[in-house]
Amino acid sequence: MKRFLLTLFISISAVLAFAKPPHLASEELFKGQYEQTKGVKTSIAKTRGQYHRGLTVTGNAAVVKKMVEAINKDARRADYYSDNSDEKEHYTVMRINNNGRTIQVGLQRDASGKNGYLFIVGPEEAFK
Amino acid sequence: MKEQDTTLTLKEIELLCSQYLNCRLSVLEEAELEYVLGTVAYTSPIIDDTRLLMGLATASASKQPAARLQPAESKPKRSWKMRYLLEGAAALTLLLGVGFSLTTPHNSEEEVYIAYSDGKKLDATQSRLQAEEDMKRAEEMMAYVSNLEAREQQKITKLINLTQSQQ
Repeated sequence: MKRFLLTLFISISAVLAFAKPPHLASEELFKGQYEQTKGVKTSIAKTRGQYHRGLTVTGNAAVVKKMVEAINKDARRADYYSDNSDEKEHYTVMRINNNGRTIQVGLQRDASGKNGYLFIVGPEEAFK
Repeated sequence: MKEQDTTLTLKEIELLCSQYLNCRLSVLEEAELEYVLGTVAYTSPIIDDTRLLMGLATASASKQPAARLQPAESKPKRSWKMRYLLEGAAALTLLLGVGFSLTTPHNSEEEVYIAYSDGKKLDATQSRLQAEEDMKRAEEMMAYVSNLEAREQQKITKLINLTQSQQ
């Protein structure tokens, strides 16, 4: 009986350790610190098995700087990373694998550095 | 009082064994025959067969009393293996169950929308609108970036082909 319980405990621990949340630096921006900030829009949505978060900044260089720092930290874990620019905007898109599912993270910012948009999107299982 | 001579000859024991095999002995007589076969060292096919039926080991040539067989000697090993097998099967079943419940989506039909704008929390309808707008913007951005990359790749391919043709 003791041996059976020990085997069971180890098995369940192994399963629980296998599935874990991603702990992205970008996710830290959605902890509520910008909910009262002017010029910032935050949205969190869970729909059709997809989890979406968006952060839009207008006229606030400090927050845009935080977004850039977060993206740069997450880039180290990316399986795919892309950095592109056109005449007006700078775009960064990456894909991060977690729990066998893909999370997409993107940042769009203009040349002034005061306006930006960051998103995190992926299936719910990727964030468990 | 003289003790009755109870020593049986081989033939007599074989006769008793034959009667035992033909179910002609009473319960008491069977018990006595079992005692005799356990103490004497006589051996013959019929005597050995009777001993086997009674669960007695075949007597050795040294005339030592035949020890009763232990038919259940292998039982502890069998039950040990079976126990491990059952424990492993139960643990595996539970493991699969836990893994299945963790990997299958729960409440995937449930929709949640939360949004803040310029320091104010939006109501349900406005939250949904803002969230849908953000989701659309994200899709458009990814499509645009994909387009940019494709155009960049075309430029690179053109340049490589041009360089190779000039060589």
